[in-house]
Amino acid sequence: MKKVFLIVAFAVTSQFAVANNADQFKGLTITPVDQLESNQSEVVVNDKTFRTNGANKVVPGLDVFDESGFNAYTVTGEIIVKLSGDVDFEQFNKDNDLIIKQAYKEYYILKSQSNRDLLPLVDALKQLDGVSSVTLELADKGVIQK
Amino acid sequence: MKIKTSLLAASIMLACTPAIAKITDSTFPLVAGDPLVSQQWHLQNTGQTGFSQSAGVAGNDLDLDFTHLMGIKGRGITVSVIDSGVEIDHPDLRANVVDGSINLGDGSNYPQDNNGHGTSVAGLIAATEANGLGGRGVAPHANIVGFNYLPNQTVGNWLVAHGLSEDFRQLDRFTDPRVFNQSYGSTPASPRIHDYSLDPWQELQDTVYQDITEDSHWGRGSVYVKSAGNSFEVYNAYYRGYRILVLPYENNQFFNNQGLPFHNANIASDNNNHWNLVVSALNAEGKLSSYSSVGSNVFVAAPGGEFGEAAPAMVTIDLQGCDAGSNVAGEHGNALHGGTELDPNCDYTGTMNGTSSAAPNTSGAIANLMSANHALNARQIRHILAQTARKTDAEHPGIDLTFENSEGELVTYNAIPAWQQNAAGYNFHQYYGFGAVDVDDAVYQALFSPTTALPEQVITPWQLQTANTEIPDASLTGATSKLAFEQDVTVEAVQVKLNIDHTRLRDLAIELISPSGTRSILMSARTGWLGTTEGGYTNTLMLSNHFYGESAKGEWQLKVIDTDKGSSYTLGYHAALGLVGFNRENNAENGVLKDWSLRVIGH
Repeated sequence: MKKVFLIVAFAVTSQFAVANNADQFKGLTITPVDQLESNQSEVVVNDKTFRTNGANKVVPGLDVFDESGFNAYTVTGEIIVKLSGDVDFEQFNKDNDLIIKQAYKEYYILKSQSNRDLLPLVDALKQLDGVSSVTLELADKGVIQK
Repeated sequence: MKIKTSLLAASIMLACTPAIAKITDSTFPLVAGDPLVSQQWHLQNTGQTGFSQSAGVAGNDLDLDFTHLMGIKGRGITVSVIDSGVEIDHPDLRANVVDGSINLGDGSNYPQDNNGHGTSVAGLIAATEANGLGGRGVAPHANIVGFNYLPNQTVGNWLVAHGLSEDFRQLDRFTDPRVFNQSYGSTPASPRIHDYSLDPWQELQDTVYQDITEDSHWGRGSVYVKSAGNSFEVYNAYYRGYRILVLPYENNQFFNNQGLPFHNANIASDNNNHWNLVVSALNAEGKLSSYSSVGSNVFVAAPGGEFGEAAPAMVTIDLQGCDAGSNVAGEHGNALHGGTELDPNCDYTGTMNGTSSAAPNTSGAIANLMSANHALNARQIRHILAQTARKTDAEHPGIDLTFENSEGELVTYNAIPAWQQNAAGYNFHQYYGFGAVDVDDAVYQALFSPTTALPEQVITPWQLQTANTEIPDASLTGATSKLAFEQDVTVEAVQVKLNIDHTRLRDLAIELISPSGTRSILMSARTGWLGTTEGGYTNTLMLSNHFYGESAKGEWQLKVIDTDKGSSYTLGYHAALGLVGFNRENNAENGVLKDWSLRVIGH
């Protein structure tokens, strides 16, 4: 049992490079990946289907993973808006409790100030004249110290 | 006064050194004044242990004694540490901290580090010299700013940490960063799609990298330094929301990958965008650190050490106190740890490692180089590093992979070549890029060799080549496609975008051969992919520095070889899932090299 705890520590908390030990896996059986059960919910973000561990509202802090299961992300609440013309965000932001976090060239980074469902907000932004694309930011959970 | 003394001493040394000897090959003692510096093998390797249980091999270090003797120590150069945060009031760091740090969690100017990683990184770059405390940084007079980006990862925070400040000013002040250290990264388990129309965030990132590299600081630009990754043997990835440990499995043996790298630095999007200078890690014997990721996108190698118990790691600063950071109270395999006489308050560590350490050692080296000649631009810095890197582990034989082909015969494939020299005379190795960073040679060149400006950089349009060629299963024959490139450009880097159908990507080796005949391994066989993206590689980007200085004009060849008929696969482990086997079945159909595109960054 102690060995199993050690492996878990590897998988979950490793911050630096660590040494490996094959003895840790002796006695464990290998399950083919297609035999694993799945009981997760689906959400569509940025026109792609993602799965969650039960949640179906896309709010800041939600963890999602893609259909392959190999990529996991956190919804940060920030929205990347690419412009194709002039857009006056002032009234829109006031109405939707958004702030401009950053602006760079044709990109605006908006941030939701509340814990609301972000998908209707993204749809509303897409309707604004002068907006080229709207992307809900998904922070890659795989980015760690190396 | 210290600078004047150093310069005088250096002048005398120069005058006394026979013309035939190279001054930078001589060894000069580092100045005294830091009790731990004698164990910092990465600064001057005398065969010390670094408080571990074994010694390194003398001479395998950054070679900076002449540079420090000259008083060249990063003065006037600011390095940004984008990490877990930085303990900027650490007594061995605070003298070099300048305004500009941001806590990305609460907006204050104290980049709280609850982990210790970023603090150790900052210490490697610019811990204070000769203050009677701890050791010192590679550039002990450089300035430091820190950002706790890793616990606060959002696009807005990424922009702030990578040079776009919240008040939208340009990077043009002397205290603005000219070096950005990124000791972080990801190890994707399936290939990334490079398509800006699907991923505006990627486009935004690449645009910022390019802008600041080329245009900040009145056109001299900044250098982004990036760790290659720690995934040579295993890596962590997510599967269905669980963070799993991923490892190779072959011939009923865990961790058996035939000696080949299990993962490749060329996979992550921010490692193959050209703007990041990617660094692999060396141990105290001058060989690849056991964990270091490698790939054709590695530019140089620098000390990262091993784990600090059986073999030396880095000696650097740690979070203050014996209840925080890596060095805490209690027994430890590293003799510095646990509140010892040399460090009773546990403010230092002897176990910092990883390409996380190789990157800041390179950032410090670049700060020294920039401070030697402030007029050098970001491309010239890269050029000098490529020209002066040292051929470390010179006898490394490469790795041959023997496998059973589809006819049942054992065949051998040279999966990792030994050191090669390209047609422009540059040495290159998949593990080390152009070689180990050599600060003295780089600084000497910056100071004394006339460095003419490089011609204006060009990035050629993508040139598409359709192939639709079958990849025979388990065969050295492979699929080959040729592309005629008409532009007469001198290569600085080459990027390739691939479309390949194949259900077991870990079987594939991908090679790019230049018109001059240089063979670069873009993706080595037995790379531990867990899955495909849309049935294989889909618009997957890879970069090679291997052709630096060669002419791009002529015929390029891409070769894809399937090296396994199903004998190896990949395991994932998490307590909630158990051991999970991926890629257990061989591909039912032969793969297909559909098309590929190539572009050249050069002049």
